Amino acid sequence: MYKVCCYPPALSNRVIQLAMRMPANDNVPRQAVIVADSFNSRFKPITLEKPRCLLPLANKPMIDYTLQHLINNGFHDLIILSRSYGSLIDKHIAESRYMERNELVTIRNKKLSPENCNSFGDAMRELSDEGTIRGPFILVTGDMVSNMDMRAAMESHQANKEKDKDAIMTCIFKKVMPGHPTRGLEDDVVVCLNPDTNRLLRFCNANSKRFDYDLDLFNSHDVMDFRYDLMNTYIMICEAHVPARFSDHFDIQDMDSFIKGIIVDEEMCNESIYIHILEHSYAARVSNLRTYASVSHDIINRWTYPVVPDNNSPPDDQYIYRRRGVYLPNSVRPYKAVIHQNTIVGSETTIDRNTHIVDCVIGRKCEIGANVRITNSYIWDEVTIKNDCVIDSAVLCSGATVKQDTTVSAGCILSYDTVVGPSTVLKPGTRVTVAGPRHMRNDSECSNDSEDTRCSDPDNISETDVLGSDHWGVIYQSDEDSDGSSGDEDEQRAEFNRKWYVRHPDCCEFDEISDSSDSTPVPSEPEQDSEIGFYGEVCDSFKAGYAIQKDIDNVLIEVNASKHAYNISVADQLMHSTRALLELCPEVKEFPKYVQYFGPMFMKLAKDRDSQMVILDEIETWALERCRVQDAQRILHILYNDDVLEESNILEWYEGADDDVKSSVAKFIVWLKEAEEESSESD
Amino acid sequence: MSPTVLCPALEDEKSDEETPVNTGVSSANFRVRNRRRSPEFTPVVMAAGCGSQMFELSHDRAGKTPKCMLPVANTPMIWYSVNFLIANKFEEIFVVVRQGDKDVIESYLTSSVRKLELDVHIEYVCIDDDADLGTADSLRIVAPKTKSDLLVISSDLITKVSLSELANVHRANNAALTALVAPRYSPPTPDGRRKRNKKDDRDFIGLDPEDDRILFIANEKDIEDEISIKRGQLTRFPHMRLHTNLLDSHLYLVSRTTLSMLDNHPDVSMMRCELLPLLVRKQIKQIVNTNYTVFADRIYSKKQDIDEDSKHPDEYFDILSEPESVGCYVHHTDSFTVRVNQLHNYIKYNKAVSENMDDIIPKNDVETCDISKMTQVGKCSRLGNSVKIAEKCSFKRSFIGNRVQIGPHCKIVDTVIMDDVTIEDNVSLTNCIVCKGVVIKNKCTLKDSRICDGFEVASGSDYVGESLVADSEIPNMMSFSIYNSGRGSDAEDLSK
Repeated sequence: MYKVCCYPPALSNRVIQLAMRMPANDNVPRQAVIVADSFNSRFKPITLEKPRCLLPLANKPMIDYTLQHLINNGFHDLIILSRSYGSLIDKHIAESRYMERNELVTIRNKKLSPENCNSFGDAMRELSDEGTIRGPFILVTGDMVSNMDMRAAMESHQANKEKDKDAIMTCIFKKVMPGHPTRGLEDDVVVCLNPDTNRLLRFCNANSKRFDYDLDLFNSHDVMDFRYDLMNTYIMICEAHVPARFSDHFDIQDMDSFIKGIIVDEEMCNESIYIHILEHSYAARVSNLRTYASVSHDIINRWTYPVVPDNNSPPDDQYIYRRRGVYLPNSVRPYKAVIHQNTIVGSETTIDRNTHIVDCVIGRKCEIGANVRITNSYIWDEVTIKNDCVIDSAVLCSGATVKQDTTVSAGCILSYDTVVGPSTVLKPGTRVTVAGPRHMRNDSECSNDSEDTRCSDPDNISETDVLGSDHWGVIYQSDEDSDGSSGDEDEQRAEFNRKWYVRHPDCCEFDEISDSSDSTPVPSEPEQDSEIGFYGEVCDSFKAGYAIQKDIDNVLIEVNASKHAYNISVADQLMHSTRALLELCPEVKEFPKYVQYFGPMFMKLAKDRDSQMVILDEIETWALERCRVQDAQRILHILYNDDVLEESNILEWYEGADDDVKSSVAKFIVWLKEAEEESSESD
Repeated sequence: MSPTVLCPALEDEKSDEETPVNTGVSSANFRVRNRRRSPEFTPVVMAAGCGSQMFELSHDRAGKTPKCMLPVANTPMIWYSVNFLIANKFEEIFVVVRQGDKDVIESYLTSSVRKLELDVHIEYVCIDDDADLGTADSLRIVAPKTKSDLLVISSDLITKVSLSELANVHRANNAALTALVAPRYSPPTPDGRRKRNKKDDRDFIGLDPEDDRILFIANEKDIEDEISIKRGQLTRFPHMRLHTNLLDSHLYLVSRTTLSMLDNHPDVSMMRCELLPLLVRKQIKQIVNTNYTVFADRIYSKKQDIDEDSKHPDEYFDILSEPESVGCYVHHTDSFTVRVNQLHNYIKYNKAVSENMDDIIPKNDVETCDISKMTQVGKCSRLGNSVKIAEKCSFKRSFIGNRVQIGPHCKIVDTVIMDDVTIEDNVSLTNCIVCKGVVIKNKCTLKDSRICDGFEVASGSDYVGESLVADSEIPNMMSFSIYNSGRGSDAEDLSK
């Protein structure tokens, strides 16, 4: 009935279900308006060259999360309000072919003029003039990530409207405890609402130490909830005349002041706003670098399920979800590097040996050298990092290069196509760009790409000191930093920007979600423990079995029992068994004896190609880790002789193996090939 | 929350609760058990209040009716709290009274308790008439006399709540203080809607909806024009539900730790206005100490103390169970609960108590009364002992005290008449409060008025909405700001 080819089958079914269940009622919102401009400069200097909503979040442009969520929820008439780089957004939408995949979907990109339109309020006023809004609609920002089912919210909006004809808007709030990193410090709010109806009574920013409420509030309501555990997701279900309200009050600039105005101001027709509270599903907005980091981690930790990297990605960019929150594409096999946890690695990325990566997002086609340490960083596509670098809590945009032996400290941003190094240490919070920030307008997202001001200057001595001798790009001075006298608010903002990065403790999770059944991410730590435990058991069984030459079938039964006890997958069982066998054997001389004993077991376990590849991969990893590459050839030979490994699989593995291993087993491979030819000749 | 029952003793009471207490039947078993060990709570009745919000009926001058002796449904209001405690099988009750009021209260309570034929010991704690002591000061006096937690009850509280439920909340939370809150009483109106009386002082009570922890407490009269909520508080307890329609009943269970804290804060004098906010602030400021060694050290050092002083072993367990954090909680009740502390509610609450507490209120002795058969007494009215009523009177929703004499052709509606009042013929009273010993001459018409102790209303008077006060009292009265019954010239009118 409906074609939604890019989504996995489960999701497309859901879309159909939603479309079927949605009553054919004019009061149900059908349109969605996406405000694709942030009207601020939190992401400078990155946004000098690209709009925020096209920045990759977990290797996918942010606006794709928003669009997919809306389409999945049955909204087919999407209006994007873009200001800066409208053409880039056009191009992106054309490339992602939403409209071709689903003929019901229409996406219109309305470009606002950067001169007349400087705020959210202006955008709403233009929307009102346009007159394209026909009925109730959903208003979201272009940087929204969510897995919520909009039906419940729309039903509650409908119910509110029946009870209260002045209800004009339902805002969706997510329950998040104060201090959680996904609560952007800027959008920290305290709301006061009627607990029975969820009508919003007061709304104030949590920047002050105390919140004052006038007695009027208490005279008109018997019971009020004051809540600091709610976060505004900026997903709003609006009545058709909401944009007109912005036109009525031309001085309203942003949504917060609009909400405040409606609630408090008597002049505004006594209209009311309700809120809908999300307890179990996820919704958040990437409003600054801090939330960029925390939403990335929420995606990696699967709070946004089913919106996770291994689920919704296009066919040419598929990920496999591995243990400890590691997402790897099929093509990347980083045996030499150590990827610890909570990391996404894009396709065609190469990572050299002895490199450690923790809590990172790494894009496509990156080249990462040897002995590199990367922690808590966001590395976009086609980034080159040379050997011996250390990168901590930084953003490296597409095309950036970090030369040899360079340290990129916490809070650094290397914008597009910049080069730093070699042999330097970037100070914390350094921002490097090749676009000329000093010539840009204040609200930079609007600036067009017309003036190409590459003002990088290799002869500039001070910048060479800071950025390294081969650098390309200049240090970006943000407006907030340059004029410090612009008041408390700006200082605070600058503070947010400097300390955007969030250290993720192991418990960076929404406690209240953990009991929901549909989005239970696998806790990483216990699994690790269970693997260690399982490996221990396997070693013990092997040792005991070998010592008394027990019947090998009994050893296999023992191993299988511990596999179930520790809840280990078949592939992992094979991997740990291989490792146990290799570790058990003290010298390669004795290996034939061991294989003689354990061989039948491995033959049972590894009958097909995939499981034989697991054994081969594990041998390679072990050889590299233990620096026993020279023994790999003997081991392979013995296993081949005892019919554990098949010739074709060894040859296939050899093609993708590490160079060192390749060279050490080359003779054996040559022999194998010859043997093959001989055997084919003899046939 | 479903509080667990920790002590079977109080659970017994729950089953007995329905039995009217003034029948004098009680479980002998429980009393024996109770005697063997000290009770879990020691009840303290706060009866030293001077009734600042109903001073026309009672004020701090000696010789007047103390506030706690004002009749509610023809029974002095202290009876309700003492009876509540007796019904819950407390055998030793502390009553805090002013020195000057002690004799009146003691003689009344002694005779009332004797009628129940129960072994209840009431100990009077006197405070000086002139001393400016608050309820927290009274606690300091009572605390050393007992080793258990205190149950503090105000003498103006009239409630049907189950104490065991309240106690369970206190035990389950290991609370520093547990308060009883109830919906503010309002009589059902014909259209089913409840309207707020603007004169009521509302309590603003902020609770954590999860566990009913008190996060904010203030009375309307303490607040000027806005309420501030601190961010630190919301960070620790991010969800606060603020109720404006709940009544803080002034019935508290106070733990020993709170009592010992009182010693560290000598400036705290009032329980409701100072101690409670202090506790509420403490639970927010507190940083929970998870450092085990520190905790262990503390136990160890305390243990040393115990060894030295050879204290009772129970106290050792007290230290183990010592709350790491201060917690103030409330127990919600839907049972009938009112506090008779404001003048404008006085008549309304008389009616409400008469309706709801019928089983508690002692019946009058009909034999002593002399009521003409030609007189109509409405169903909702209540008569005291030795009442003398002449013919052709009519009473509706009124309360007539002991030894009242009423002449013929009187019409009395929605009125409270206290003891020893004399009313001559052809008097019409509507919505009035007539205090002790008042004489109303013939042909008077009074509406919405208060006639204070010993006043004599001249014949043929016609008053609406007045406070009638005897001459000698006026200068004294004027010092109260509350004395404003609508017109500034009242005093001149009355001094004629």
